[in-house]
Formats: sequence, C-alpha cells, structure tokens
Amino acid sequence: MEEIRQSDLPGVGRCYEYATAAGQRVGVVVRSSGRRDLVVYAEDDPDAVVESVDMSLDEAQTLAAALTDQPLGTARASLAAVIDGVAVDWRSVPEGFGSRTIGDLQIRSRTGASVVAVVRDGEVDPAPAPDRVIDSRDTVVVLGTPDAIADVFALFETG
Amino acid sequence: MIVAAGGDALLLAELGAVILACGLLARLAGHLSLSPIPFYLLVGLLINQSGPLHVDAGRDFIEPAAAIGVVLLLFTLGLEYTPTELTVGLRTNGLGGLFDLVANATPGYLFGVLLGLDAPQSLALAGVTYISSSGIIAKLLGDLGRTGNRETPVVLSILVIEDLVMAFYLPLLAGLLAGGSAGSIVASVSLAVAAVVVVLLGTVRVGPTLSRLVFTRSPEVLLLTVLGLTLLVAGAAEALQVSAAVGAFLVGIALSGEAAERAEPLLMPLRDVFAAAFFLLFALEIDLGAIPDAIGPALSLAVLTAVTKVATGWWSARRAGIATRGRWRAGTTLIARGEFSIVIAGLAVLADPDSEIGAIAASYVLVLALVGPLATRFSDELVARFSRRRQVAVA
Repeated sequence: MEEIRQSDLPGVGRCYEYATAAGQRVGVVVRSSGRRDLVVYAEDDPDAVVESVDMSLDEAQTLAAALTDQPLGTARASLAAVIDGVAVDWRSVPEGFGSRTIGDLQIRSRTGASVVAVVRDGEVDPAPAPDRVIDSRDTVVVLGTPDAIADVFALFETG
Repeated sequence: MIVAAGGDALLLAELGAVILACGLLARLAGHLSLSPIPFYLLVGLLINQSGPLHVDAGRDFIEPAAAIGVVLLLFTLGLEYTPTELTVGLRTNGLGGLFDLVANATPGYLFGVLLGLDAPQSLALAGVTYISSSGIIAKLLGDLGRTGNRETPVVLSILVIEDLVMAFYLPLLAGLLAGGSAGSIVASVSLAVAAVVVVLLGTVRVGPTLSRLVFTRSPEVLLLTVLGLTLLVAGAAEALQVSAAVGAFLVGIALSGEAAERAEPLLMPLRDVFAAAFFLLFALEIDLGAIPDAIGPALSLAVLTAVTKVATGWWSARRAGIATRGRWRAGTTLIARGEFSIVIAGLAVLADPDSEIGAIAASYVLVLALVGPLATRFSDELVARFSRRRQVAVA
C-alpha cells in the first residue's frame, strides 16, 4: 500500500487519498462543516473523481467501524473501559440534539458524570469549559459510573 | 403623506421589478449551471439611462446598497478562510501564485498603457485581469464533483494567494486612485499592510475571544452584531484610506469557530441581495456609448488572459505531479473572472467616472464569467479529442 497523501483544501477542509496495492485510488474529503465525501478516482485518470458519496459524520463513523470490523451501534458500549466501577465511554451527539453548552446541560449536577473531552473533526478538546458548545458534529467523552454515563447519553437524546 | 406614499409605491414597484428580473435571470443561470453575475450586469445595462428599458430603480436605495454589497462580498470571502489556510496556500504553492500574478496582471497593465490610461487606472485593469472569481470557481468545483480531485488543492491554493494579494493590493490601488501625495499613499498602504499582518498573526490569539464575545444563540442578535461590526470596521478602514473592502475582509478572517459558522448562513442571503445591487449599479454607471469601443480590447484581453490563466493552472498542477487531463482541468477552472474584477473596476470608476475601464471590465467579465465555466466543463472532452487528433496525425 502506498502512503496516504493529505492535502489542504482552503475554504473546504482536507482531502486524504491513496492507492491500494491493486492500483485503485480512493480518498476522503473532510469538510469543515463536518460532512465527509468518500471518493473513488478514475482508472484512466489518476486525478479525477468518478464516484463520490456524501456522508454525515455518523454515517462515516459507521462505515469506518464496518471497514475495521468493529462492533456497531449499542454493542460498541462494551468498548468502554471500566476500572473499579468508574468507566470512560464516548458517543457522538445525535443529529436532533441541536446545540447547547455543557454548562447549560448541567451534566455534572444532573448525572454525576463529567465530560472529560470533546472531539470534533479529529481535533480533541481535552478540557472542555462549561461554555463549550456541543452539537451533532461532536463526539463526547464521559467519565463516571456506568449508570451516570448512560444518563448523560440519555440527556443527549432528550435534551 | 399621500404624495410620499405615491413616491414609495413607484420606488417599491420599480425596485421590485428589477429585483424580480434579476431573480428570474439568476434562476435561468442556475438551470444552465452558469454564474448569475453576467446576468445581473445585463439587467443593469438594459435599464441603464441610455439603455433600451430605462428604469430609475430607486437609485437612492441602490447606491448605498452597492457599497454594502462590496463590504459583504469581501467579508464572506474572509469568513471562508482561517489564517492558517491563508498561510498554507503561500507555503505549498507560492511559486504558482507568483506565476499567476506576473502572467495575469501584466497583460491588464500593458493594455491599460496601450489604451492611454494613466498608471493608477492601468494598475486597476491589471487587478481586473489578475483575480479569478473564487465565488464562481468554488461553486463550479462543487457542481462538477471535483472537490476531491487531486488538482483541486492546486486550484484552491492559487485562489487563496490571490485573495491574500488583494488585501495588500486594494489599499495600494485606493491610495493611487485617490491621487494623494506620495507620502500619504505610503502612509495608507503601510497602515493597511500593518493591519493585515496584525490580523493574520493576531487572529490565532484574539480570534477565539472575539468570536466568543460575538457569539449568541439568537440568529437575529448574531446577524445584527456581525453585520454592524463589519460595517463599522469597513467604514473606519475607509476613513483611514485602507479601503472598506479590506477592513471587511479582515473582520471575516478574524471571526472564527462557532460565531463564524453560525454567521455565515445568516449573512449569505444578505450578501446575495446587496452584491446584486452592486453589480446592477456598476452596469448602470456605464456609458453605453463606450461599449462598442470597449468590446475589441475586452475580447482581446479576455482571450489573452484566458490563455495565461490556463498556463498558470497547467504549470502549477504539473509541479504538483498532476497528469495531463488534470493540468488542463486546473488551468481552465481558473479562467472565470467575476465579482472581484468588478469590485476593482468599481474603485477605478469611482475615482474617474469617465474612465473606459467600466465598459471594458463589464464586457470582459461578461465573457469570462460565461466562457470560463464552459471551458472547464468540457476540458476533458477537448483534451481527449485533441490528443486523438494528434495521434491520428502522428500515425
């Protein structure tokens, strides 16, 4: 496999592309809006996209999990690490959530769990402040008892 | 009161008719996958006071609206980019940017001199031919599904460099056109350069704070805050002879994160309305009698600078390791000229209302805003046909 090539698309986002050993060229456009394009390049023209699939972040994560044969959906919760009753788990914020700050949600006082990191577009905010706004582009990493974590994820569903 | 209401009725009806005409033509442009800009210019030429369908179309409204249109065009341009993206362009394709500047600004300047324009007006014509339309091109890349193409980063890096050059070029041009003393021009240009550099370097630190201050969840409050801030800075920049457009561009760059993402969809429709007013006013100001004389130079300039743009894209793409067809796609994509050529010509016309540059720039943009997108759409087929013919000739 040839090395993956990353290029900047000013005003759009980033693009990754590489060729498989069989010579097929594929790529991903990461838009700063959060959406992803999965692209396939033409066989007779190495620079031209012939097929493009536009995906939301969730859809892209599902595809990424499928490609690496990871458990999907609810089963993924088993990936959470549990140490003496304290667990870390993460989930992407559902589309219908809108956008609110961590402080507004009163996560810690309502559930007892803490948001320890927010990941957006591959960028990690390792100590999100209470005024950090979260929306459907974010994956939220939560620390707490498994029950408290489940409460946090329920908050995302109900607001 | 009744008289005033009667005046309003006429104003509303005329303005409505003109905006509706623009809307209908923009719809047609959309169906044909063309830029609406040439169509706005055509409407302006038609209702021009020496035009066939003269309408007075609320000049009292259109004039300030056009000024706001320029400010919003540059503001939303700045909003597209983060300071990092601007510098990345320079780092990855600085040479391509230099090729672009030399190959495309020179023909405009020389034509200006040949046509007997003075140095500031010739410099304006250089800007008209230099700057590709990032609006048309960004839409084109999306429409043709070329966002992921390997030549696209090359195209975008050239556009970014052009936009950065504009930030330094506009205050220089504004100073020269105003015709102040050498000292005052140097002062306003240095001030502009300092402002651009401070914003580019400072945004990384101050941007998040500014964006947090501006951010609010209410669309209405956010819209008014951002619009007010942009106009205020643009006005201050104009007062300091830095050019309102550059002030607005810098506000766009400085705003980032949440505030920028939320403000963009709110301001885009507003920009579209006011920018249409700007294109209309530009065409309204043109002396139609000057058009026949302008067509010759405009067409020759269009052909020449279409070729130099293709050369720019072709050469830059080859340097980036792109194959033949991709090089031609990159080159033809860059042909389109549009909003910023008109913005620059607008400055020149403002300084000298009798300047031929208005008629030349309008004809020039009319041609290249239409031909550019068509050329790149059929680029692959043209290259295939040409190489087949060459193979036949060789055989």
